[in-house]
Amino acid sequence: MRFLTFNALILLATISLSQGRLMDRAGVASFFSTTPIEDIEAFNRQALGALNTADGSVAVSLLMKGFRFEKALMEEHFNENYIESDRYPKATFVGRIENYDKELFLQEGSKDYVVNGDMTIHGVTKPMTVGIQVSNDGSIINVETKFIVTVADFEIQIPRLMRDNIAKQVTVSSSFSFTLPK
Amino acid sequence: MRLTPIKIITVIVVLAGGFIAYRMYNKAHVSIQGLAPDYEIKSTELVSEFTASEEAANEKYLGKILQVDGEIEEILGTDPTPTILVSGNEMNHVQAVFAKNMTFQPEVGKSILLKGRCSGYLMDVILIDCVIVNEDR
Repeated sequence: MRFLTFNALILLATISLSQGRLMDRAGVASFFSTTPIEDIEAFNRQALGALNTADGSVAVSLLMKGFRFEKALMEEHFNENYIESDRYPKATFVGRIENYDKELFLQEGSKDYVVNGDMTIHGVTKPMTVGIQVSNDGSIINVETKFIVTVADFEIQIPRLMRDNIAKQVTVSSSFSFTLPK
Repeated sequence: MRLTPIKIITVIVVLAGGFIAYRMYNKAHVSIQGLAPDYEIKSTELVSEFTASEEAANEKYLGKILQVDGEIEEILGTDPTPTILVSGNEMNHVQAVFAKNMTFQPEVGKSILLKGRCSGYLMDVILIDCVIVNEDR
């Protein structure tokens, strides 16, 4: 696991050092869980995103302790009991845009793409395919995504008492804006 | 139905329990404004500690309140509250995200003394819920 996290960092570093690298240090990631009992939503506004326009590789890294909840108690449970953020402080995604064509990608306008990669949450890595919406106005590339994460896939244990309060699948949304070099 | 003392006590205990549970559930986020920092450190030194050993620095600083002294290098955003980069090394900085009510206008080049909770290290050491202790001293 440590090896994979390390790999993700190396990839981030390589992306950031190579040509065509774009970076956003203040990306937004949020997740939403809904059950008949309650809705839970949390936002993280310090997600680090890297996009290499030369080969279409992407990397995202964020800190679990950076998620803010409406209620302090939810945040406490999330960090201490479910996600164990002292042991697993980060979540990462490392992947590549499918059928990447640099020239097409850098044209202005809006397009949808598919990204294949590996997602690591709670120390567990799973292959994952997510759809992204890319809009390019010539100076900024905005990337947005929304996908479903199954809590049990990442070995996140929810105590029986809370099982009706937390959805088995949560919706994750994320957005990054990358400023194109002039 | 007769009201025995046992019944009355049971009702009181249940009500009190419910009230406490409700209060806990709605417990507010604690502002760090009035809290004493666990560590006081220069932003450049904090960044060096994390670049030297992320693991050791995490052990020491994760979740702790840090009072950090540095220079504003870049403003990443001001919506809904300011997010700034404070001096570190060439590539890694301290990223400070300000708390809900902190809507000041940061200026690049000014020195700043701030207090925030350390959430870890990505490219920058990240402090959340930040409040200003002193601006441009």
